[in-house]
Amino acid sequence: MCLSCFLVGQCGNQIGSVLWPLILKEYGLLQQESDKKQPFKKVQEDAIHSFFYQVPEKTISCSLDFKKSNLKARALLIDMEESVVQRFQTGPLRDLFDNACSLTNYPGSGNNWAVGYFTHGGEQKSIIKEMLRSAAEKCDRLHCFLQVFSLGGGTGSGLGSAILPLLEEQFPKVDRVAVCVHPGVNNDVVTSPYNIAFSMKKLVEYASCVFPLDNKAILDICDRLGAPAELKTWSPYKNINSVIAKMLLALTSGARFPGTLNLDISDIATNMVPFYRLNFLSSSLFPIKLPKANGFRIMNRESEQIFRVCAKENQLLRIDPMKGRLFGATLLSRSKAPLSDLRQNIERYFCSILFLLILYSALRFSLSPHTVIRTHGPYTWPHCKVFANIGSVSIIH
Amino acid sequence: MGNKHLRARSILVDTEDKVISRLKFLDSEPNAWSFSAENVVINNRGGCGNNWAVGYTECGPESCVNILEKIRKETEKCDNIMYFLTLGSTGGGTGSGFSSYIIEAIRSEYSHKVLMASFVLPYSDGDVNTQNLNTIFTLSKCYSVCDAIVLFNNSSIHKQLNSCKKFGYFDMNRFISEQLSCFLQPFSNFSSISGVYDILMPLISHPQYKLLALMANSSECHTKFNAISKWETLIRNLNFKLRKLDLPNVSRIRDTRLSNQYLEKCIANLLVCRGADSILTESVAKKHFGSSDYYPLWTPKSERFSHLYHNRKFCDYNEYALLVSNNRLICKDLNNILERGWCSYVHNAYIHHYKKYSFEQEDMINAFSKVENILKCYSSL
Ligand SMILES: Nc1nc2c(ncn2[C@@H]2O[C@H](COP(=O)(O)OP(=O)(O)OP(=O)(O)O)[C@@H](O)[C@H]2O)c(=O)[nH]1
Ligand SMILES: Nc1nc2c(ncn2[C@@H]2O[C@H](COP(=O)(O)OP(=O)(O)O)[C@@H](O)[C@H]2O)c(=O)[nH]1
Ligand SMILES: [Mg+2]
Repeated sequence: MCLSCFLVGQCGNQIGSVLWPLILKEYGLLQQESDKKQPFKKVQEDAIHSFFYQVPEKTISCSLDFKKSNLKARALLIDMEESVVQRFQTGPLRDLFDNACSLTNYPGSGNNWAVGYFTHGGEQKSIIKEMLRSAAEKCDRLHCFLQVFSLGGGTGSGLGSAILPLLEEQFPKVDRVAVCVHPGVNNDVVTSPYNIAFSMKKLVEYASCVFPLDNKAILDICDRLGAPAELKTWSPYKNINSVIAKMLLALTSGARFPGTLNLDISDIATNMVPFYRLNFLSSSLFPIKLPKANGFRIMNRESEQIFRVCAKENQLLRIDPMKGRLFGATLLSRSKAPLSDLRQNIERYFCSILFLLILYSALRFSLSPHTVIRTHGPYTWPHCKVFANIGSVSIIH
Repeated sequence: MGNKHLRARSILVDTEDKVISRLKFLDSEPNAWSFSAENVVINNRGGCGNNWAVGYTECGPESCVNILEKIRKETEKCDNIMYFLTLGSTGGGTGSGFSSYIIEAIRSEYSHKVLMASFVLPYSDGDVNTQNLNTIFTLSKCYSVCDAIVLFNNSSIHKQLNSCKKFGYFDMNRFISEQLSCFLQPFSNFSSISGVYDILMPLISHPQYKLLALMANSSECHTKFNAISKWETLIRNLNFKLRKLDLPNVSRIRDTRLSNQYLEKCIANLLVCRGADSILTESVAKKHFGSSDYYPLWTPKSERFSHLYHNRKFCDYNEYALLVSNNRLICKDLNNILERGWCSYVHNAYIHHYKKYSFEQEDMINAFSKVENILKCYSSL
């Protein structure tokens, strides 16, 4: 089962540069010399085709290094500037990305949606189509397209929304998941309200489901976790992006690894979108551990985690799900908690809240406990996550 | 069996590989069993997305020939096929939609064999958002082609297991499997070439009533009580399960004439006792289930209640009693599912997912009316 990951625009690619090392770590493919060699687990080996393919085709050797086992990422790096994508090509991950998988151009889109959508979307259309085709060809079972971009700029929002219709046209049955970054209240681009509005229209129509993420909400989470101040200045997005990357890992974990109740991306797309066009889902994540953050907390009990993951302060959007009306909620837990405990806790905490659920969503929530994949040191985190579809998210026509 | 290696006579079907890849395929130990790797059919598309229509309109037609071929090969190894049994859930997309298609295909291929489907109904308070629609579509397709449908309800299994502290799907599945295997294994007071057919026949004597419910009661520990009184308790408890649920303290009502008013109507009951001294349970069983108050007048007297037993110890239980019943209690579940299903339908919620796979409004209305009809039959008992 393969997931194809498109990183569009500066924001998308910067998130990608945090995401891919995390993916490599999750599969145990990124090990420092000093680390003790850990055996390659069967779950990891089975799941490796989700984010990687191998050139030339051969069975995966149990090498713990992506270079030696010749693994390439199933990713397309698209930006109309060169700087960020170039950093991939010169950085430590350069062997992970095939040269044919990146597309750059000069000049950029100048934070103008129309330039991204019409100019670049028109000019690059045939090249992108070809890239999509060859990316899909490398997958034996294409499960979903994951597209990461920002709504505020020009390339991500403009070109990103031009790619969605192409996907719909060529792969009508494959789910298109858009993960898009909303600038939030600290608006740093003057034209962003336009860019957001125009791309929302395309997202409503062409994406299977959209996960909007609010930069300000995530920044607040990072502040609360005590991220060191200097990190904030020289690389403002580093912590934000690592939260987003963790959210992406959790979101796709159900499709990649076996669990007690299987939750594929298409399950999310069916369950959380009751009506055509009502496809904006909010998400939250708990607990979050940032690299180098100094405030370190004691792990909470499982029951408390379920409660905390629904709380307002852990939402990746600036909303309070408890105050809205829900069409449905999915709890995805990566922990060893048995089903009986999870259900019990959910009943206890949700009874008071979920009467707000709109009646025709027939049920309360989708529940999918996943067993933790115990692998590599710091990256096994007991981990709860709620996706809730909030009816109050308005649609711009 | 000597040192033979046992292969399960079963075919595994899914639309993604993560579950099947964890099953047991190769086991070289003597007397060990495993599934056969040849009998795996995976239409790998990353699941059906909890969408019945994907399973029924896409996966079904694609993989059907392949599956029937596997079934043919498997049946050629048997000298006498007694029945086909399917296992699945109605909440998701694969177990519901894909298996509906396969069940229809098996019926048209093997029109004279007993076809028994068993489905797990989803948690009634929510599991999958499309669960009610999926369940309705599955029942509507399977009801006309299957000989019998055994329904398990995750909610009630959950409730029954709640006494042991922690459990997961594994324990729930063992619970289900024990009941099924208690029902389907050989008995000492019954042997027939046609096997299951003769046991099943009284239970499904009327073609409108095909839904079977299994209820089990067991004792594990050795107690001071003698075997007969232990059996008596087990059987009495099973009997209580057939009383109307919404009445408080029915069990306290002493007067049998009065208490019989609260009995749920049954088409037929079958009591299976497995364990030591189960041969002695005949009269107790008759006492509890023989009463004609249970059964509608039109059911033939001889078909109403049967009692089967085997003296061998079953699993780890000293005494294991199972009631296979075709009764009105199912109305509660059906009603619940239909109510919520209609609710989604009239608000047009989730409907577009089905239409995308060309399962249209008309088909849905048809499905709803079929299930309404099943409910009507049962509630008018
Ligand atoms: N008793 C029991 N119920 C299960 C188990 N696994 C899933 N379920 C129930 O089955 C429903 C979900 O259906 P699944 O079987 O996971 O779905 P599927 O048939 O594989 O279909 P897709 O995932 O949509 O392709 C829910 O109601 C679950 O509660 C299990 O092992 N035991
Ligand atoms: N979370 C996050 N947001 C970013 C990042 N880079 C840019 N943004 C946001 O994206 C918007 C600008 O879009 P950008 O991606 O730079 O423009 P593009 O390259 O033309 O698509 C602004 O609202 C930024 O706040 C990043 O690395 N992480
Ligand atoms: Mg499945």
